[in-house]
Amino acid sequence: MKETIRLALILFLVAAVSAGILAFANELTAPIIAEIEREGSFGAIADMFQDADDFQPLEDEIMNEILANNNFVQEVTKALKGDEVIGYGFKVKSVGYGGDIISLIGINTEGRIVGFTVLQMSETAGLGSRIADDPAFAESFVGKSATEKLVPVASPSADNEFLALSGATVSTSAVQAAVNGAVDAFVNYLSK
Amino acid sequence: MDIVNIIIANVFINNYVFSRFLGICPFLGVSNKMETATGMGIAVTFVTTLASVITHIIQKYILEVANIEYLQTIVFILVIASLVQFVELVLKKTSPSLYNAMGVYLPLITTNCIVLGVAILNIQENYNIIQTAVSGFSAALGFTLALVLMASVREKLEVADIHESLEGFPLTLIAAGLMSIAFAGFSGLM
Amino acid sequence: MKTSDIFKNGLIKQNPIFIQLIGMCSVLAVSSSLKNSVTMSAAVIGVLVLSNIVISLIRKVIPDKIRIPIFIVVIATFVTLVEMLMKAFMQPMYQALGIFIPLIVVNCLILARAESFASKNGVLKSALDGLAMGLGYTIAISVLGTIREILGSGTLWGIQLFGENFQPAGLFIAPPGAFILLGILIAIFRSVVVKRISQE
Repeated sequence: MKETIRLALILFLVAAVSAGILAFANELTAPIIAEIEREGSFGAIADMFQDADDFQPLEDEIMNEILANNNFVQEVTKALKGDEVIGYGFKVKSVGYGGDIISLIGINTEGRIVGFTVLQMSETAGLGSRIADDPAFAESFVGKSATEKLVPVASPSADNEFLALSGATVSTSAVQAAVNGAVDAFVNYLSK
Repeated sequence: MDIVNIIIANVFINNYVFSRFLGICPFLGVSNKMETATGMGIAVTFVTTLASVITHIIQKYILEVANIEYLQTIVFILVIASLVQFVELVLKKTSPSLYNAMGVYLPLITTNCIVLGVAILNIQENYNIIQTAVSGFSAALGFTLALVLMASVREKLEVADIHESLEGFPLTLIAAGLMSIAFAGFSGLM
Repeated sequence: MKTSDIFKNGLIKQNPIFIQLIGMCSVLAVSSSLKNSVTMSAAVIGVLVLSNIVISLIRKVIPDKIRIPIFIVVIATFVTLVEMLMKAFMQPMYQALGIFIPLIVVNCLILARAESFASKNGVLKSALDGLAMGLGYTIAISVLGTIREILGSGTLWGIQLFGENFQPAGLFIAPPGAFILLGILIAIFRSVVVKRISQE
């Protein structure tokens, strides 16, 4: 019994030292990580709304309602020019081939998509990863209507079509679900 | 995602061995005989399901409450290691027949990355406790499927007449690659 | 054991990937490009060298019965440190490697070196052993990463190698390509390199 207690104490001591070291390291890195993550999502919204001079989170009341009824939208940010809202940035999450895909979709108050960008993903390099790397993919969303559901096609032309990536069906449909999630939130809660 | 989707995804589409590359060491190590493959499969399924649920509870009610999520890796691996020891102890005392069937594989499971991998992925996916249990169970089921399939192939490969440098693991890896192509076909399912 | 022997062991005779076949999960998973392979190697070398040093330092004071849990705590601590640093300073790379960074904890290579080398040898030797084994890992994963990136995406370190019309063979960055190429590489390594060494 004595032996067991001694062993438990030693193990506890080792774990405590390690937790102490990690707590210290966490103190140092946590603010940097938080900063990077904020910059990452803010920088991307700022790129989509060049005219905007301020960005604010959506009011809690509407946000909670969206969260309760929409499986994809995680965060909505208002893009402001002076006091006027000129559009919204939707941070959406969907599941792709290699895990979660977090992307940002910008929709202006006229109901047009102004931008699409992937914030985080781990799709197969060279195939699914083109949702983030291939500029043509992101561009195929720009200017499209945000009032109806979007569908992927090989050569998009109509108002509700975007580029389907061959060989990356799962990633493409994950993005489709995400974008349509944002469109849904916009149509039901934000377009007046 | 509902339960059926999780099962289909974990067993076929994103099979942990063939498309996520987790659990490769035991996959190569114990897939040479059908008997050992099934034994390992059962042991992994048991531990993974249990570990998924326990790590989920620890994450939600200890790490997140105390705001020490950064200790996740260290806590999870310790939980898994002690769980494996505990299961070994209980089986030895209560069910000698079950212990005989999977006892020898238990110590190997701590370093099977499927167990820790599924635990971390469940948290990332934000699964609730039922989804977590299903996800852990089906991930291990997919692993078992891969193991049993491979064992049945390898029992035949052993008598194949091939160049000596390919014997054993190289040929096994190539066979795994071909199987992985077959599993890629499932990606159209969902 | 001489320093040169430690390196010969880690790189060739006991190459963790080509000969011992341990720590394979991350090799197969992150070798889809050279850049990912090299970053992963750096993380593995870091954890391997540091945990070998610490385990060698404390090898005389830890009780034999609980040495494995203690090894695991030491390794997990360094893995978490690497994870935090990568999150803070190499965000894109951290995302590319994803879950395989925390999974370094269960990389059998690291626990195996702790158990079979660092717990029996001095600090300097253990550090060198960690470095040598880490470099053996690096060679294997980098060769695989180079071949997969060139064949699978037509690039190397992200730089386009061929003209516009080159159609890369996507199979090689997909999982099947990883299995098949690694199988072929192991066969080549065994028949060419090992044979030559044993003749010496």
